[in-house]
Amino acid sequence: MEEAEIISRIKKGETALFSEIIKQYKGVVFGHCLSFLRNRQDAEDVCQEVFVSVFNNLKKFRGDSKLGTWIYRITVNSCKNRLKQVQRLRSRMAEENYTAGEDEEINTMVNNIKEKEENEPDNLFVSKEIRTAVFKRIGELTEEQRQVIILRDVDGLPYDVIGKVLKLSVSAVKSKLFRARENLREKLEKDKIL
Amino acid sequence: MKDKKCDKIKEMIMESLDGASNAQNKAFIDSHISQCSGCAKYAKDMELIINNSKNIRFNAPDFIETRIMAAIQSQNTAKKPVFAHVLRVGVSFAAVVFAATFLIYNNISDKQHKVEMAAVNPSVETQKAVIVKNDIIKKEPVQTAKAEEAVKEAATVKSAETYEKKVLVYEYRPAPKQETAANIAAPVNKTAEQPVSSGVMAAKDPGVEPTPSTPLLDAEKALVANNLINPNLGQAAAIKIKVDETARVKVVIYDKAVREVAKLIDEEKTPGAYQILWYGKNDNSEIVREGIYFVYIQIGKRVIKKNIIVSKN
Repeated sequence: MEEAEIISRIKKGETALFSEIIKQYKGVVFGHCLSFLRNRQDAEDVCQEVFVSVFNNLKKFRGDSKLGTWIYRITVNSCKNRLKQVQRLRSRMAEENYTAGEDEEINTMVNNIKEKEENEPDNLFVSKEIRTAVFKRIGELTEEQRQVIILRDVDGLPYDVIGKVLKLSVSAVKSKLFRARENLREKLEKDKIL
Repeated sequence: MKDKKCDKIKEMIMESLDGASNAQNKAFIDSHISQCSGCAKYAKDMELIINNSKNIRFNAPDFIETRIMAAIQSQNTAKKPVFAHVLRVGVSFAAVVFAATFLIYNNISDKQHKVEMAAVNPSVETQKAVIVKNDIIKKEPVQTAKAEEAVKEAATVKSAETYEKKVLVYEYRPAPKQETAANIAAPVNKTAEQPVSSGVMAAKDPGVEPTPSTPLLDAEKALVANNLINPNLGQAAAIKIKVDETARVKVVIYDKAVREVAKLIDEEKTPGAYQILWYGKNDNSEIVREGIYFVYIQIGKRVIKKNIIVSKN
């Protein structure tokens, strides 16, 4: 069944069909949330929020952009909002001179990064150790740089779609991506990965 | 000059790796990096970063679809027709206005009647006044008794609430690694009868029992078992923490707007494993609203954040 048909049937009241949309996009939405928020519980919660929001606002979706682009926009905004909440929480606890216990969570997450697919050819440039290091250092980028590098390199979106999601021009996206990759490279050089 | 040229080449390398470069540009890049070791290393590093980023993939959990559909269905059942709501509010308002009018009218007509009777026959008024007074006197003891009962009820309810509000902490020693989960369960049941730290009360709440079968992993210092609760059913979230050395333990619940809702514990604890139950109530013993709540768990100088969802469906 085509996406447009699914959407129109859901709008008419066949809410059970919404599970088809969830099946199609849950992977990318969850992956994006986890890569950005770096906390599994937050990623699950935000993933749920995103799809509930998509369902509630499906009537307003006119089809001007692709459904995927629209869902990505909701995902990006939801992730930003959750990150702000987390940062506010951290600042409240800051008087205790705490250190966030995130290292354990990230270690658990990177252990769960999928091994390469069976049909993937051996690639000298790809290894779990390097992927782990790249994932960790992506978390140290600024929010904007993290967002653009995840959308481009992790999610694989083209420049024009990223521009629509982030409401930036293609040249601005390229410029931010360039800076993000440069910063990532500097961090990995310090780690002696490169 | 060379740096500017290399900066330009770096941008072209980036575009080429993104597949946005034509054959001419690729040839230009190749000829440059064959002569410039810096740019050659740059190209190799970028290829490594991009290829590895592309291979970062996570599997969405299997339950996420069920969870999303359940959330959608629960919000649909929670919605009530607007008209019914307006009608309900209107009827309640009309009932209040009617009752108030009735009471006021009764009060006025009583007074008017007394004045009329006093004007006609003063003795009648005195008698009525006496009768009224006696009635009042008679009524008072009944009212007082009722009031007393109400006060008693309120007191017992309040004390029960305060009772429930107190943090419930089971203290048990970390089990040796050889012990199985079943053996770990046994000490928990024993210590339930003999709480150790001060301020600990035995639970009478019939809500969800803690789940000792959910062990604390060595890698994890804290976890929340049963993180979806319905406080109306007396369910509780079990916050399990592991303290390696004597340290201050603080567990605070925040709402979505990052406002403190309840401070469950804030004291020094000796090494061991602890479990704290939260029944979905704030510091005033009121059941909180539905939604997501953040649990900030501080052990010494480390802070771990977990989530709890409160649902009333």
